[in-house]
Amino acid sequence: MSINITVNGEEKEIREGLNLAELLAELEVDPEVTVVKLNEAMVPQGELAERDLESGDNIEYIFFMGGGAFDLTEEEIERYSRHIILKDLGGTGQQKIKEAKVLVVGAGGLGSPVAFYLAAAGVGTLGLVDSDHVDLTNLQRQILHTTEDTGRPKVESAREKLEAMNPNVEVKIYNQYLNKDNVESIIADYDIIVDGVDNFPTRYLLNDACVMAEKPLVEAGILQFSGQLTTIMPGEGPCYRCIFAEPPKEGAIPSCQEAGVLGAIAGTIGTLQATEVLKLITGIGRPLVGRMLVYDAKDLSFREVEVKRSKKCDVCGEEPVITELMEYELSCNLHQQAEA
Amino acid sequence: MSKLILKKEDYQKILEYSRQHKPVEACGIIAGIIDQDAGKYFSTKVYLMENTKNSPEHYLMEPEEQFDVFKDMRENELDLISVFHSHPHSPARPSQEDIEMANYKEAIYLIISLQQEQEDFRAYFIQDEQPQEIEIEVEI
Repeated sequence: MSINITVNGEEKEIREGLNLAELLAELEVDPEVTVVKLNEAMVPQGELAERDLESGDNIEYIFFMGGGAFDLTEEEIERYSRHIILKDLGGTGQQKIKEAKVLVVGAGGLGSPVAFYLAAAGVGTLGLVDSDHVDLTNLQRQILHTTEDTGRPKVESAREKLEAMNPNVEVKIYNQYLNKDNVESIIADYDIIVDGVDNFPTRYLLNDACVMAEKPLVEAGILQFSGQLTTIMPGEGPCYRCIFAEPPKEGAIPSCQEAGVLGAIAGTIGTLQATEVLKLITGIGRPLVGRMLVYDAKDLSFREVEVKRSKKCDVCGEEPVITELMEYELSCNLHQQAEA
Repeated sequence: MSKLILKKEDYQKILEYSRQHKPVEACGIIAGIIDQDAGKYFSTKVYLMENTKNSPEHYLMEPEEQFDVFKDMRENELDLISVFHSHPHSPARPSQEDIEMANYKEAIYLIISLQQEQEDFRAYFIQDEQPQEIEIEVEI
């Protein structure tokens, strides 16, 4: 025996005794994504099997029409839920973090907290540049590496920890010393560059390369009980050379190797660098452009110093004299007040 | 190759509605006529729908409103040709959620990105979780 019903405006002949759930199954309609009306009344999903069909019934159904603007998996939505519930950040901000490509130069004192927090935050592509091997003297502050890693290339040790922390992040490693021949091609693939280097030649090279490529550079240095931080936004604010035109004379500033550094300061300043990167990616807040933050750990105080673009800057001034990348000679005494 | 052919006034209507709702996602339905042989989908009527999520990141149409639209389409002998929504702050490509919720396999999913000053309209068929972009033509 069969009965006649109407389904979405079309007459249909069906077997007698079917209920709504069975009808949907015959029509190959997934009830999970469907809203059903029987004779103008909505039928809850859980009651579909209880509604037997009778001759003359009018059935209408629609599929949910919906979606979202971001591309996060269920796992990512859960992992980053504390980000996503932030009103200023939300799923859109997390999506931007996922799409971001950040290069961290130096997998040491500063690079460790920067890379850890950026990986944890879900930065989609994280590049790491370092040619050093892990040394026992690094472990007092370089938290990416463990005692067992001693002797291993830092970038390999770092990648292992970062992938364990967040397998969603693609970690690209460059086990090489940054120089004028490779810097442009390495930074080209990234949106934001983070400076965690331990010497002046690389710091100036990175500054010049970022200015020329118009890439934001989150710049920082630490020494003994102090640290400093600024964000270089080429074309908008001062670059490193605007603030410090030339590297200091040999011996003027000791290195961490010579003068030491309180390990936790790398964490304080590196974490601020990571914060600054996440702000730049998401567009939240006011970046540290045209300002230098100076940290005094002994006093536990922060001081902000206004820094301005210099018209006479050799690389970003009105008449730049550095139009091609150049390198200062790396001397033992030219170690910056930073430790990578 | 399939093509979505939008009347100029429909294009404008969708764009204005999307802009009005920014930063919230706007959504709606396009009905029209399908020339199966030529693979052409002509818009003839645009239904501007409520986004029950009222969110910059999600949209979900109100089922009762959807039933009314389908009834109207039946009465006017129009086919569903496209489901549209805006991405106020992201590119005009289907997100994972868009792909998972593309329940109308025969419909074109139109996404309007307002991320840049210049709007970006892109249209896709989404079958077996694979978006396939198709051409859009705006009839003047």
